[in-house]
Amino acid sequence: MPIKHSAAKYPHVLISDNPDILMASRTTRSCCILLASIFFAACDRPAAAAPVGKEKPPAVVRAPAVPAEMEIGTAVSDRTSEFVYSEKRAPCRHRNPLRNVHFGDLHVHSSYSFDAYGNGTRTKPEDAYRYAQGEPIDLPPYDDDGEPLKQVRLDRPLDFMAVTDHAEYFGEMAVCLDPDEPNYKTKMCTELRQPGYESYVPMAPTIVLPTPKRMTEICDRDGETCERRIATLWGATQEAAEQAYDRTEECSFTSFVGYEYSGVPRYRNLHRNIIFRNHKVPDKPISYVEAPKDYQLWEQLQRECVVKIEGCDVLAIPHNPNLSNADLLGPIKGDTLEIQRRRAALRNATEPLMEIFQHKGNSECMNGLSGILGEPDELCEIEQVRKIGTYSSYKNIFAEVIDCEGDPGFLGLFNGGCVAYNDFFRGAALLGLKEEQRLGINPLKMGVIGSTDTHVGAAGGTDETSWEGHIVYETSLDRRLGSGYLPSNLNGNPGGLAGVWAIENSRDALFDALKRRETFGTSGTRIVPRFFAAWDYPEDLCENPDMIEQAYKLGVPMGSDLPAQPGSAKTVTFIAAAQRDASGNSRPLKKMQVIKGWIDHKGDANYRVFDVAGDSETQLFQEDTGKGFNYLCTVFNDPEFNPALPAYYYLRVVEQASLRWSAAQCRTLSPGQRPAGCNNDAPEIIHELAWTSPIWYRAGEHQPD
Amino acid sequence: MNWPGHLPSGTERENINLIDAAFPGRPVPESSRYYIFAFTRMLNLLKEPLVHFLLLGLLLFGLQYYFGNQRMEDDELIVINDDRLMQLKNNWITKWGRPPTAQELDGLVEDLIREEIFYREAERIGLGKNDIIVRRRLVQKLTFLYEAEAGELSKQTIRSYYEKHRDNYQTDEIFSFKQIYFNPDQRDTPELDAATLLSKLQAPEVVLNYQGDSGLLASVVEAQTHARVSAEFGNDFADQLRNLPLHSWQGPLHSSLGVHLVYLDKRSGRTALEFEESRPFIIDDLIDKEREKAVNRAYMRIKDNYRVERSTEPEKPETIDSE
Repeated sequence: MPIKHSAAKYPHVLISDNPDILMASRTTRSCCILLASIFFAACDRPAAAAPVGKEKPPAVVRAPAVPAEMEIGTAVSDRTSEFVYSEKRAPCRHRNPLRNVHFGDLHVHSSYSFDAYGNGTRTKPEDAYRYAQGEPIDLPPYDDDGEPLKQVRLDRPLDFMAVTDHAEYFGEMAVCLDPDEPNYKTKMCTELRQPGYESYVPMAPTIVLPTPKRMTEICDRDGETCERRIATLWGATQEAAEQAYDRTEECSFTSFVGYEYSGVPRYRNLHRNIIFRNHKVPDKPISYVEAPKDYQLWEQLQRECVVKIEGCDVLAIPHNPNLSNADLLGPIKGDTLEIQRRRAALRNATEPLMEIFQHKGNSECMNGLSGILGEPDELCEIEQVRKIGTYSSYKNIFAEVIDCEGDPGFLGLFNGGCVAYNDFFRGAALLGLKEEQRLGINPLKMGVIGSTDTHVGAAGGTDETSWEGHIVYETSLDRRLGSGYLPSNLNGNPGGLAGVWAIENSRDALFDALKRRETFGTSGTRIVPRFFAAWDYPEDLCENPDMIEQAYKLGVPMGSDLPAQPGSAKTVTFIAAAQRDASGNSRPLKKMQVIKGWIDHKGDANYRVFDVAGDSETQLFQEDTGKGFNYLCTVFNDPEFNPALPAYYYLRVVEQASLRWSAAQCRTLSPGQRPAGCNNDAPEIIHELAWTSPIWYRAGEHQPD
Repeated sequence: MNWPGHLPSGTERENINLIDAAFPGRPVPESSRYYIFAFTRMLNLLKEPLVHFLLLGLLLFGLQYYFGNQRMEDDELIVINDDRLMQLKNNWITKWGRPPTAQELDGLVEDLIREEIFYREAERIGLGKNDIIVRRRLVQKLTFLYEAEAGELSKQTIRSYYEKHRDNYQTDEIFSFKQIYFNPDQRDTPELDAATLLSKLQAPEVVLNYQGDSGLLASVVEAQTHARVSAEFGNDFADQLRNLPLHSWQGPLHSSLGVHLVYLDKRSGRTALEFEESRPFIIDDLIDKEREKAVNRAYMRIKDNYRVERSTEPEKPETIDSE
C-alpha cells in the first residue's frame, strides 16, 4: 500500500499522528529496513504534533523529536545478490559482481547557487552535466558582449556526478531573477544581478545567523514570497539531472538529484551535500532554514524522504570539517542519553560518508592538535589551508587560528577561529569510536570521498596543470595566484574526486555503494585503490589471479565492519592494492600506507601510520628520481593488534612527487610571461593521494569456536 | 499654484495685471509700470515674420558657434563620473575581495585617464586603421550581429538534415578483448618477455594458461566502449585497438601501466543513431550552420554596396628546381 503523499504539503505535520500509516509503510518495506531507533527510543514519547486541520503550517520548523517508531534509512547490507532497481530503467549491459571503479564528483555548483551567480557564474546544472561528460562549457567571467573568458573541457569524462546548489536560496534566486516578481527591483536583488565578489554577501545572514530567517527585503515578512518559488530551481535541478542520466543499457553516465545544506552559524562551516537515490525526492529540499540543527536535518530527511515517499532514499555528506571550528563532526548532543542515542542512530544512518578533500583544503588530518596521539604525519600538510597561530581578517572580522581544546569556536569559513582534532577525518573517526563506547552506536562511522566544490560548473576538473579555477575570481592565472578571503585563490586547490566500487554504473548500484561506504577519495588524480580485511588472508594472495574474488569471499571491503573474531585468529590481515592513474601524463605510485586509529585502555585517541609497500626510503616532498610503481599489492598484518581495543584502518596511497598547480602553471610560462603572483610562498611540491574508507574493528565481538 | 483674481480682457491690461499677479500683496509702483508696459509692447515685435527670420539666423549662427567649440573642447575633456568610479570599484572588489582604499582608487583613476588619453591620441593619428587585431575584432563584432539574424529550426529542416548526415550520428565503438599484462615494476625487459610469449602463442595449438602479472586490470574485457577502455587502460592503449588485427594475439602494446599482449575478439565500429536520439546533436550542429548562413546572407546583402577593383596577378615565371 503506497503511503499517502498529502503530508508533503504540510511538511511540519508529524507523521506519527496516525500509527496505522506507519505500520502500513513498514510492512510494505522489505527486510532491508533498519529500525535502529526502536532500540534506543522505546520509552520515548513522540512530541506533540501540530494540529492537522490547521490551514497553513508555520514558516520555520522547530523540528520535534523523531517519533519512536521512525524507520531510519535502508539497510547498508550488500544487496548485490538481490539487486533490484528502485526506478524504471534498462538493466545495464555489464554487471561485475567484483565491482568496477567509478570516478565522479558529488559537490558541484552552478549559477543556481547564490554565491556562484553573484560572482558571475552563468553555467546551469545542465551545462555542468555536459562538462562532466566531456563537452566544452563557458568559463566565466563574461565580457560586456556576453562572451565568456574561454571554453573549458574535461579531457577524461566522469562516470557520475551530482549538481549540489545551495538550497537555502532557491526561492530567493527565483525571485531575484524573475522581472515579474515585485521584489525583483529591490536593492538586494539588483546587486545580486551585477556580478561582483560581494554582490551576494548581503543575503548571507539567512545562513550565518544561528536562527535562520529569510531576507525580508526579498521574501517579505513571512518569507512566503520565496517559499512559494523554491520549486522553480528545485524542479529545474531535478530536470537537469533527469536529462543527464543514461537510462539505456549502456549505463555510460549517472546523475544524482542533490543539493547543498549550507548552514554556517557564526561562520562555522556545517555544510552537507544531500544526495538522493533516484528521482523520487521531497517537494522541497530540507535546508538550514527548515532544519537549523544537524539532528533536525537527519530527522527531516528520514521523515520527508525515507518514510513518506515510497522508493525515496537519501544520504548527507558533511564537507569541510576543517573550517567548522570543532562543530561539524563533534560529539552527539542532547538532554538525555536516550535522545543522544537516537540522534547517534540517525546520524549513523543518514551520514555514511564525508568529504576528505576538496578545493577548500585537506580534511584528512592536521599535525600539532591536542586530543589525539601519534607521530607527526608529513602528508597531513598537503593543501592544509589553516595553520595554528596565523591570522586572517576580513572587514571588521579578525581571527587567529588556535586549538579549540574542547570548545567550539567560530569564523572557520574565513580561515579563522579555532581548530580541533575532530575537524579532520582521522580525529573524527576516533571520536566516533569513543562515542560508540558511550552510546552503543557510532555516530561518526564515515567513509570518505573527494570532491571539487567547483562554483563554475567544472565538475571533476582536478588536473593541477590545466586547472582554470573553481570560483569566478580564480579563472585567470594572475588572480588565482593572488589572495582571497575565503580559502581560495593561492590558498585553494583543484579539489579531489570521489571513487566508488559498484557492480555497474546505475543510480541504485552507486547509491548502494555509497551507503555501504565502499568508496575512496583522491586529491584529484585517478589512483585505483582496493582494501580488504579478514582474519585469515593467505600470505600469497597478491599473486593469486583471483585475488579480488578471494578477497570478497574471505573478508570485507573498504567501508565495512570486520566480522566477529574467530578464536583461532591472532591478528587482523589486510589486502592493500593500488594501481596508478592510467592517464598518459600521470605520476607512478610511491608507496602505500595503512593508517590505524584506536582508543587505548585510558580512553585516549591514538593513530599510527604504517608504510606497507613501495618506497619508504626516499624523502617526501623531493622530486622523485626513482621509477616508482605501476602497481602495489601486499598482505599486511597489524603487528600490534589488541582485541580489547576498538580500532579502524584505512589505506592511503601516495603518488610520487608532482608540482602543485601554482608551480606547475607558472612553469609552463617563460619567465618573462609569468605574472607577479608566480613569486609566492606556496609549496611547490605535493604528493597526490588516495584515501579509502576505513574498515572498523569493534572490540569485544568474538565468534565462538 | 492658484492664479489669483480675475483677469480683465485687453493685452496691455493683462500684462500689467500679470505684474500684479506675480507679486501678490505687493502692488507694483506706478513709475515702474511704464517701463513694464513699454517692454510688453516690444514683445509684440516678436510677432513680426522678419524678426523671426533674423532671430532664427542668429540662433543658428550661435548654435554652430557654441557647439562647434563645445566639440573641440570635448576632445580634450575626460569625464570620470560616478558610474565609471563604481565600475572601477567593482572591478577591484572582484579582483581583490575588498573595496579599494582612497589611494588605490586614485591609482585606478590615473590608469584610466592615461589609457583614455592614449586611446584618443591613437584614434586621432589613426593607429586603429590598418591594425589587424582591431580589424578582426570589429569584423567579429559585426559577425555576431549578423549571426543573431539566424531563424528558428523547423522540424523538417532537422529531419532532412538527419537523412543527409546519418553518418555523423553514431554510437560508440565497442571492443571485446583479452589481455596479458607485463609490469615493468617487476621486469627488466617487459617488451622482450611479451614478444617471447607472443611467438609461442602464435602457434595455433597452444593453450594459454598464463595470466600475466598481477594487477587490478581486467584480463578479459567484454563489449566496452572506447571511453571505458580509455578510463581503465589509458587513451593511447584504446586508440591502438582501432587498428589491431582480430582473432590473434598481438603486441607488445604499450600503456601508461606497462606492456600488454592483446587478443581482440570483437570490434564493432560505430552504428547509426535513431532520429530521436540524434535530435539534440543535430540541433547543436544545425544552429552553427544556420548562423553561418545568416552571416552569408548579410554579406550578399551589403556586398553590392561596394565596388572591387582588382589588378590581375602578373604571371609567375616557371621555377625550375635544380637537380
